[in-house]
Amino acid sequence: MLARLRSFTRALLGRRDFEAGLDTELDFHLEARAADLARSGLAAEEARRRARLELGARETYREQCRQARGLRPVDELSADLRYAWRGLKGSPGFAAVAVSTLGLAMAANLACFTFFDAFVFRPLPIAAADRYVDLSLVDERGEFGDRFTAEEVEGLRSALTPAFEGLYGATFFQLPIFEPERRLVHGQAVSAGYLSLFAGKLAFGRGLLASEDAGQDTPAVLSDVGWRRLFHGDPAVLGRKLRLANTWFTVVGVMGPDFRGAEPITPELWIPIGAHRQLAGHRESPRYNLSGTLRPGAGRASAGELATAALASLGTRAGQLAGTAATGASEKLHVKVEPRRSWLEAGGRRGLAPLGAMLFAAFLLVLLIACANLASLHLARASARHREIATRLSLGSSRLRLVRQLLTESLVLSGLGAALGVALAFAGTGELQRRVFSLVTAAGLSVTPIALHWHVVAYAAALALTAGVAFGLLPALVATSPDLAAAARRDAPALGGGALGGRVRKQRLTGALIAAQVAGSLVLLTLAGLMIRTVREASRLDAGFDPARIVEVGFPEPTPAVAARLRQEPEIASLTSVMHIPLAGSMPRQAMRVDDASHNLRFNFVDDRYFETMRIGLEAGRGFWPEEAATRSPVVVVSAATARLLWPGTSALGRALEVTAEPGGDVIDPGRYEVVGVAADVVSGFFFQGHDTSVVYFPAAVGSPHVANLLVRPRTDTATLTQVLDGACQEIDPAVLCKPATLARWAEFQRLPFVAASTIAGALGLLALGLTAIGLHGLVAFAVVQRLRELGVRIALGASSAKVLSTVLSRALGSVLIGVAVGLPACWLLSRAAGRLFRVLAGFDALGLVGAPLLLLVIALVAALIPARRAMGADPVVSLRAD
Amino acid sequence: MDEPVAILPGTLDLLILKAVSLGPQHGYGVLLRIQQISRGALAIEQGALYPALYRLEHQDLIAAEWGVSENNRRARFYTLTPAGQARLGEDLERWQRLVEAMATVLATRTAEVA
Repeated sequence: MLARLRSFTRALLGRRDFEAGLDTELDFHLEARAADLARSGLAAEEARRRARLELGARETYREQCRQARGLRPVDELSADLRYAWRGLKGSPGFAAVAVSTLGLAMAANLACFTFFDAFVFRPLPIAAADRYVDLSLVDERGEFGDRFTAEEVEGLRSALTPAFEGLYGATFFQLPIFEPERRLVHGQAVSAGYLSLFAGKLAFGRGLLASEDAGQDTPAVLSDVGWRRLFHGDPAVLGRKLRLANTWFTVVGVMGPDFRGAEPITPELWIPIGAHRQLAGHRESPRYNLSGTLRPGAGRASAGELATAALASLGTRAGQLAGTAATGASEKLHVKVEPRRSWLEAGGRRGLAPLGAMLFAAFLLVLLIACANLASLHLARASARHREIATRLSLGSSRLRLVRQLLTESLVLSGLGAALGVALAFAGTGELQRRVFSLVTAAGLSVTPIALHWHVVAYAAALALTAGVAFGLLPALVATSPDLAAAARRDAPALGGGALGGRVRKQRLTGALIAAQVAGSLVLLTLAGLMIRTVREASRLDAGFDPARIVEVGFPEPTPAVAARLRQEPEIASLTSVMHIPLAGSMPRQAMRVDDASHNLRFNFVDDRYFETMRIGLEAGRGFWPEEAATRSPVVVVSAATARLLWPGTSALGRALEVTAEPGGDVIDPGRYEVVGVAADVVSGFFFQGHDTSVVYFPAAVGSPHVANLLVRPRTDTATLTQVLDGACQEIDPAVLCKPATLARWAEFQRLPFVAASTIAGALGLLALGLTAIGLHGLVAFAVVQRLRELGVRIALGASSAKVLSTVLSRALGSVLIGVAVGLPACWLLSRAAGRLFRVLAGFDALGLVGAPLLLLVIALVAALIPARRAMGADPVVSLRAD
Repeated sequence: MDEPVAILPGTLDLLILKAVSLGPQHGYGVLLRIQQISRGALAIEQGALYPALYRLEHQDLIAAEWGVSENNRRARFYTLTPAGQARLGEDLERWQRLVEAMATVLATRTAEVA
């Protein structure tokens, strides 16, 4: 076997030597034979002739020699490839359309796959990635409970060595840095040894050592980004100082640019956990993620039990672990150990899977449309070549051989398409990543660049192969079907008739392919329409206040003294303190009782200046008095929608609602609250959810629990105010850097995911639409060319142009209508689901359910009309002579 | 001299192996050697020799090497490999049994069956 393989590969690789050797050998034979014959008395010329005759059919024997070496399939393949290449060169228009169609669809899929590969599929860059796990505190339902304090991290690190090779605490933070420059910096506090777990080497210096965790001269390691931003890439950075909040750090090392951590974002610097917990600016004791590498053979469940026991012996969570905390049994916590397979495949983020699958499906749908498109183009081409195919079949070519040849053609196309797709994806991924993560980078974080990987190329190859077979096999089988070939042979001399069985079958298949494309495009277009509508409706919605005129101070843990000091600034027209910042996500909910009925209502704590600062009008009653806010009096202001919900048709003033004690609900003091005012409806959650369906405002002042946000309204403009606030914060506490920003920033944050989604959906929808139009155009064009003879006869017999046009168009448009009919129910379901999810979309989706099909129909009509017009010009004389 | 008889199908390989086993030889030489030994009794299609040689070489039963012929031309010389030697032995034995069996059957007279 080995010897055969060797002989085959030698013959294949040394193909020229093989052929030359064969020739030399046969020539030698002829010469020697001729010499022998000449010796026996024949004339030289005659001897050579006899020698050639005796040798026999030289080409046949040469072919048999090749076959003896197993070269025949290779020869056939290269012949197929040459033939396919020549065929494509012969119809460059078809080739260009096919390759670019496939290339675009492939590029979209590859870009999508690149992200999935980097975030979901590719394991973390750690030596023992399969044993790397996350530890978290969860309740009995397995829902996330808490992360760990610094003491717990240290305690568990030493207690869990039997089960873990290494255990590391880590958390991201955003803190003010004052030296070498003054701004907010993104860092990560980590346990010793954490950095050396991951791929990427130190460019300078050393990492963080265990003994320094809480030392005096606190060390810091810079990332490549941090080094460039903070020290402008100064190579003499080791030993330089930087001041983070109230603490000085010394730079001891710089990580190289190839660092890839456990998260898709890279901080600017790393500091030890021991130093981090002592930094100013924490609202409570900071919590850390805990992760580590299990010892080989250690089970996750037993490691979790061990960790729970170790945590219990630390004594930090006695109540929570035993489940005896006042909050009830559902709060009983234990440590859960979950595998961490990739950037996103972490314990708490499984929820992303269905979203990812939907995204993937949308991209694959585009590829499917492209394939259906190419299949119908191929079918049309194959039928244009039916005489060639019939001839080859009757000359004795096997059907398998012909199918193989047609498949080779489609595989050549899909290969070229894949190459184009890979090139486009490689070129575009960086830009795409910047766009997708613009939210993150806008916040000052740096995103770890996605490295392209052989996975992507392998995926491209698999896609190309699948696509090539998918759009090539069916047309190839249909085109070479025996009854079609037989009919074609009969058809050749006849006029327009014949080939009926095959033609009808082919037309049905083509129609089905077009219909499938139309249905797919329709779904994608509707999806795009929904996203675009969400963005439009959400940005059209009036929040009820002007987000650009309200500035969030961003002072960490403000006290009443801080608020009082800021109120002295003349630039501040009005200042209020709140629990929940409007537009910064949804407000929390709490069950409240009104006359024996329980309602789950959203709520907020605001002080006496809230309605004035926000300029939210009161429709009835009054706002809070200062002493009500200071003492958290049992009064509330409800929004107009809440009043309508709870007391329809009557005044809400003087009514009462009751807050009962509830497990976990220790935010609002239990008791009866009297309604003293009704405020106008505003948007204080997400824009796409529309105006608040309920808000109950409770009185509270800065300094009381949960009320830690200051909002101010400028006297002149926000830019001046930002400067004033910056200076004032510094004056109050030199270790604090305020991050003033208008609420418009939150509106922008809300909008970005939808803009991104609508961009992607829109691009996919347009791509699908374009592909369908190209496919339809090509198809009608082929049909016209094919039927030119028949049409010529019809015109000669007196058919009007309109009649001819409608004959050509009706079939194409019929398929389009079927596609619309199939796609519409799917679109309707889609828009119903979207309406439930995003309240601003409620109501009839005219854009998606009427606009998208209309757009498709118009484009289909245009795409079909252009080639169909050629049919009208069919000259009977010319078209009949064409045979 | 009688008219040469065409060789039985499937026996060309055996003839080639035998001819090559007598000493390294080029393709034409193999042909001559077979004709010479059989005194011209076996007719071999000359061209068919080469696919057979290539097949045997592909099966690692014979090995080929470029050399110089008696008239100073470049030619491929074939030698028997150990595997070819073994195969020749097996095939000879099988052929012998076949010939004996065939001879016995064909020599049988009516009386012997009854």
